[in-house]
Amino acid sequence: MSPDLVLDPSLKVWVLLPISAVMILVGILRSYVTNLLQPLPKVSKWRDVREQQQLQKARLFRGNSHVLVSKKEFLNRQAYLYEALTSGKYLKNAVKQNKDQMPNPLSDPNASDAMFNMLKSNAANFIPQTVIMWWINYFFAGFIIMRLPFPLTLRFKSMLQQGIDTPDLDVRWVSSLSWYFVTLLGLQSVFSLILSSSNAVQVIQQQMPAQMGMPGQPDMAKVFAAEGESLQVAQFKSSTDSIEDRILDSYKL
Amino acid sequence: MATKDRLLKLYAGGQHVTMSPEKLNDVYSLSKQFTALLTSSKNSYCSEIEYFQLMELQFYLALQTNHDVEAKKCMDIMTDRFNINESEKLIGLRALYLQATVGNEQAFQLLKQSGEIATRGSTLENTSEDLLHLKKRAVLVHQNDPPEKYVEMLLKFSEVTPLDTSVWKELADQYIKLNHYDKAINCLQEILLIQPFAYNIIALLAETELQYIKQLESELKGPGAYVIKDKLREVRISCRRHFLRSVELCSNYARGWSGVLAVTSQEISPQRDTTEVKLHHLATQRLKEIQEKKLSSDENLKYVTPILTKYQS
Repeated sequence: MSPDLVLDPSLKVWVLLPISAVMILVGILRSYVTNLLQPLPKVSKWRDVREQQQLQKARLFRGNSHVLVSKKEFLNRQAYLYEALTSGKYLKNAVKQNKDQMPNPLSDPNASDAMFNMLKSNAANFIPQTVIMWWINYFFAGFIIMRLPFPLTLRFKSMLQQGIDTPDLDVRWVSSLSWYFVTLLGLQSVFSLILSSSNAVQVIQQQMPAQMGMPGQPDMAKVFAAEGESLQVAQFKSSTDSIEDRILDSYKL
Repeated sequence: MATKDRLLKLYAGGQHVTMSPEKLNDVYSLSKQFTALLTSSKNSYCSEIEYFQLMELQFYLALQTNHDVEAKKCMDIMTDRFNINESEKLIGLRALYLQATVGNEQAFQLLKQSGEIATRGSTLENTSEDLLHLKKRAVLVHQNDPPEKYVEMLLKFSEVTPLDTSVWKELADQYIKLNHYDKAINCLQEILLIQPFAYNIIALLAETELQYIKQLESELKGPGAYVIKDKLREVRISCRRHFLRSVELCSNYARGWSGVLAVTSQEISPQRDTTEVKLHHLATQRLKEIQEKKLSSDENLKYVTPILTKYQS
């Protein structure tokens, strides 16, 4: 069966190639724009660091107190850590404004920062897509631009012939809008070839929704108090108890 | 591939700090060749992050082996890529370079200036107190100051970052220098609470306790002998147990076995019970075995013979 349609060869030069080239160029541009929009790494505040590390220290003490040899050492340290935790001298904000009220996540500058960053990366993703789609729809609406060299089943019709309403047309003909979709989804490997590998990773990353920070952190004063309580009930058992016998046993003496 | 992985492992573990000079030289020349290869032909073989990690490693190795020019070259490569005025890490590295080549004073000046510049910059809206990395380096620059002042600064820093084991180790070293063995023991216990299975630190702790025992024994004739005697008994037990714990965790640890041998010998504990005699016997046996089969590194084995002859009963 001879093809029932004859495509103008200038379609290839003036439609197919421009769409592909624009898609690639926009993709590269987008990856650089996202790079620029990436938030700068932040220096953590020393009060935050101290709060976190002191809390972690108390937790580690509970887990690792077996390294101490005598109970006296354990009790000394336990009393000191309990005092440090409950007196609140390592808390980030020493004075709490209102204890019962959950802090509003929208008023917290750190939380809104995270949301704004997410918005930025999403904008870099969907704005160029909207613009290109508008451009294709405006100039090349209803164009058939190529014919696939292999036959396909009818199921592919909706994928390959978007924007043209001809139910009897062979599935092998591809419309301009469909070509746009195919390139949008299929250019990932081309980008990883053109861009260096680390940039390509970011292209993939930005297509996933950015992780949002947990809004509303727990009240640290309460966390400290709870840790202090579990510290108080901690039991002491040294790993060096009867170690002499253990060693002698293991060497059969 | 293997070379890259090896070097990256070294970078992550930081073993180069304690390497012997010959080995260090080998690693240095390997790393130099490898980084030169990477710089001349950038390819996908090594990601940008890995490349700069290797560069940093090469910088440390060059400083350790007295290759100042090479260190400067690595420094320049990193400075070309990152902003020297805002990168805490880079300022820290630069200060390290100055400390190694020019002197402490210049390094401290740089840190002070950079702290001020970074505070003024628009991207870092905080006080210089927040630049913990810089602060730590600023503290370490003071190594040659009067030890009391240095210890005070280290203590302040350790309060902010109590999980930084290197600070605790540095503090312990300083206390040992000042003969405050009890405080050094405390610092080493602090490390153990963070890293409970660090057998080398356990052995070091036991060695410090051994020193402390000698110090206490010399004080026995003074006033308060009764209290000291009590303390001495406690430290003796703790010292023995720590040495035993270190060899329990690492059965071929020559240093730990040497400690067991010493602490159970006639000289250090005059009234020995049967367990101690047995342990002494076991330690002798193990040390001889380690020596014969060469189960430890050459450096450690060097010390085994004199210790064996000194404490063997």
